[in-house]
Amino acid sequence: MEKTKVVKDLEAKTLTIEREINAPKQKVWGAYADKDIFAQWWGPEGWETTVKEFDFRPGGHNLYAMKCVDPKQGDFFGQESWAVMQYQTMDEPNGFSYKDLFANPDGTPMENMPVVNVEIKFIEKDGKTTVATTIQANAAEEIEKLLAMGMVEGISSTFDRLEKLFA
Amino acid sequence: MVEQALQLDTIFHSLADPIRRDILHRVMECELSVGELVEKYEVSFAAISKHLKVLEKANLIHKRKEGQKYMVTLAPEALAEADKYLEQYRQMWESRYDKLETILKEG
Repeated sequence: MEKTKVVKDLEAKTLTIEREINAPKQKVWGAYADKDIFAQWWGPEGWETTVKEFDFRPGGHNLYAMKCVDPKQGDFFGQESWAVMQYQTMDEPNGFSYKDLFANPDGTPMENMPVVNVEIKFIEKDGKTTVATTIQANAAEEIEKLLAMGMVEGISSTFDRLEKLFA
Repeated sequence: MVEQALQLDTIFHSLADPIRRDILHRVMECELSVGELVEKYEVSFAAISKHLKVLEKANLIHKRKEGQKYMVTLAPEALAEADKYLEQYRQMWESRYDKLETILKEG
C-alpha cells in the first residue's frame, strides 16, 4: 500500500508530500533535530547520508552529502550530491522551515541551481504523526515543472474519461 | 538515465507555454491540420509552427503528411513518461519515511 502522498497545488505552485508516521510528534521532531538520527534515515533506499556540519536552530544550517551505494541503481551508483539546509523558523515540536540548496562539498551554494523553500509540519493524532512537507519552488523552471505536472494530470484524467466513454 | 532526464526537461519546457498546452488539449480530442490550428489562435502561422516544433521535439505530438496538409495528433507515451517521473519522486520519499519509521520503532 502507498503510504506517501504527493499533492500538487497549482495555484500556490507547491508540492506537498504527506506521510503518517507511527510515533508521537516529539519523537519525529527529534529525528530531524538530531544529527546522528537524521543521517540514518534522510537518504532514500540505497543512499547513505554523511553530515558534515549540523546546527539545528533558526539561522543555523546542515551541510550533508547523499551517496548512492546500491550497484543496482545503475548510473546513480557512486553518485554523490551535497546540499545545505538553511534553517529559518522553528516551532518545536509542531514544525520548522528551511531553504534547500544544492552545494559544493565546502558548503558554498552551486550556481544556477534552484533554491527551494521547504516547510515541515508535524500533526499528531492518536499517537501518530502526519508529516506534511511543502515544497515551494522559487526558480522559474521549477515552477514550470510544477505547472507541467498539473498539465500532465489534466491530460491523464481526460484520457481516463475517454477510455470510460469508449468502454 | 541522463538522456531521459534531458527528455523530461524538454517535455516540461514544452508544457510551460499556455498556447502549447491548449494545442495539446485540442489535438488530444481529435487530429487537426496545422491550418486548422492556426485558425484557432490570434497569432501568426509562423508562431504556431514554432510551437509545434517545440512539441514535436519533446515527442508530445506526432505529425503526418496527408496530401498538401500536415496533420497533428497527441503522442500520449511522452506524458506517461512524465507521470513515471512523479511516481519515482513519490517512491523516493516513501523509502525515506520507511527508514524513519523503522528507526523510531527501534528507538
